[in-house]
Amino acid sequence: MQRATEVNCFFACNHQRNIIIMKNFVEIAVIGGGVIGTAITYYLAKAGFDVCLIERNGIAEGTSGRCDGRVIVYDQVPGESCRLAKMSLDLFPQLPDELGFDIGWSQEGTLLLMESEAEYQIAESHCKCMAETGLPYKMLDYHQVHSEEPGLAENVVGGLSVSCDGSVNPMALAQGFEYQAVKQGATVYSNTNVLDIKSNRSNTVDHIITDQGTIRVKKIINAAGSWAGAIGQMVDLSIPIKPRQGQLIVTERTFPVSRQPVSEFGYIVTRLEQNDYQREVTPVMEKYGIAFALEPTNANNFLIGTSRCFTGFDLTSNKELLTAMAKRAIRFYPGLRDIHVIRSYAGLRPYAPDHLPIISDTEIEGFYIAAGHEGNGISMAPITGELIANMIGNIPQRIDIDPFRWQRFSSPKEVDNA
Amino acid sequence: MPNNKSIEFTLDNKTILATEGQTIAEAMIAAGHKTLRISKEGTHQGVFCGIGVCFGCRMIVNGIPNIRTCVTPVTYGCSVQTQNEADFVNTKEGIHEN
Repeated sequence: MQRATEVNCFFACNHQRNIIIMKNFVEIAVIGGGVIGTAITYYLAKAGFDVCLIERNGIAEGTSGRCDGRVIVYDQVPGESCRLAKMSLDLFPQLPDELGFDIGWSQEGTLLLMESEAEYQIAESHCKCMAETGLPYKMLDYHQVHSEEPGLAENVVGGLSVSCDGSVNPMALAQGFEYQAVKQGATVYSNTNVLDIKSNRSNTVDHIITDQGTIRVKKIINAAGSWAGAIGQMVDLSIPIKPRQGQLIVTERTFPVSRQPVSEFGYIVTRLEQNDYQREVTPVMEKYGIAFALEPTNANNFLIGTSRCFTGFDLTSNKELLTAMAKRAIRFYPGLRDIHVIRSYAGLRPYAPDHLPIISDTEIEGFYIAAGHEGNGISMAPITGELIANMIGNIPQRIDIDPFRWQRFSSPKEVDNA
Repeated sequence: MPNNKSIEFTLDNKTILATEGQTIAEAMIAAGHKTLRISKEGTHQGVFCGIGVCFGCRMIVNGIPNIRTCVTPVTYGCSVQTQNEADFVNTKEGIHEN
């Protein structure tokens, strides 16, 4: 099995010549070498299409290299997005063998923590509701949650376990998709910047101009994530995806502070309808959209999250935000007080106004969009790849893809009537 | 040395004598203990840079892991433990694998 540490040999051999020789023609070009773009490239190559991937920098150097590695359904509420997340999650266990690449997959579940009786009651009805859709949700009372998690703050009143959730190494996942896509005949052009896309007279995509040359194409898939808007402008589509910054703290290697990935339930409550409950937040938490999440990594470090705020394409860390995030984590795990932070990083989650990804064709013939997954890009990468490959191959989908159609933004009247 | 006052501390529950002003790592070497930490792979680790940069000399001091003993002075009665990083491995994950 391939390991992520093995250098991408494409980059190595082209680096010497310092030029990239592009083909004249490829049937499908995928723009964006994140986890979504590489997944699409893999599923298209697997289906036998002539496909290439164009990435401005290197594989997983954007959002996919600046996130956590959770593959989750716990942040979902019943609906289309939840079904999509579950279908994607179900594809993960077979991926390491399918890709022949060590993606760091493990399925340890998630534990959600409630900090008040009010939250506990909402969690009970949420648990019932999710369990009815067939998901493995289970309530843990005070004693159960504290025996599972000895490091918890005493005033945490209960837990909700979601045992189907898992984790991957997101960079290895993107590299794994790329590795197997190349094996199946795909071409990868990294360090290649897309400058413009030209259409022909019948409003069909015709060729892509890059800083490494021009390539004729029949179809283009815009998987540029937070930068999808810029690619959309090249074909006069105004895609309403914007970057939403999320920061994470990395701790030193240490004893298991938590024995599994944990999150606070209070933040999910804000997503549930018919609820006037508000968790107690400080103004700083409100300002940066802070919610507690803790993820143990394979190397025994911990990732502490999460934050959400709109700061354009800014990737700098912010001390006020990191402090608030650390304080929130210590509120749930007081032992974290003594653990050192070794670094922090920020990533740009591609935010779509209705929190649903766009996985769709468009009014431009041959131009597809697969972007806007916000915090669920890693989770939803395999299913996004499968949906796009089916769309292009005219294969019936396993799920109703109407909610993810681009047309919900391009023709608002239709949406209103429906 | 102007100050030769000796102070006691414990290493893995054994009492050790140090000179006031010594760092924990110095006292350990003086007492003949070269192993400060055991890595996840089982290799024994000691002092490397001695100036707080390399993090080679991390130990558990008063219950807090990852303390750089080469820049941490001995205090009276402090409890120092060899840091065995095999214990970092998540026990719950271990159960899942079995």
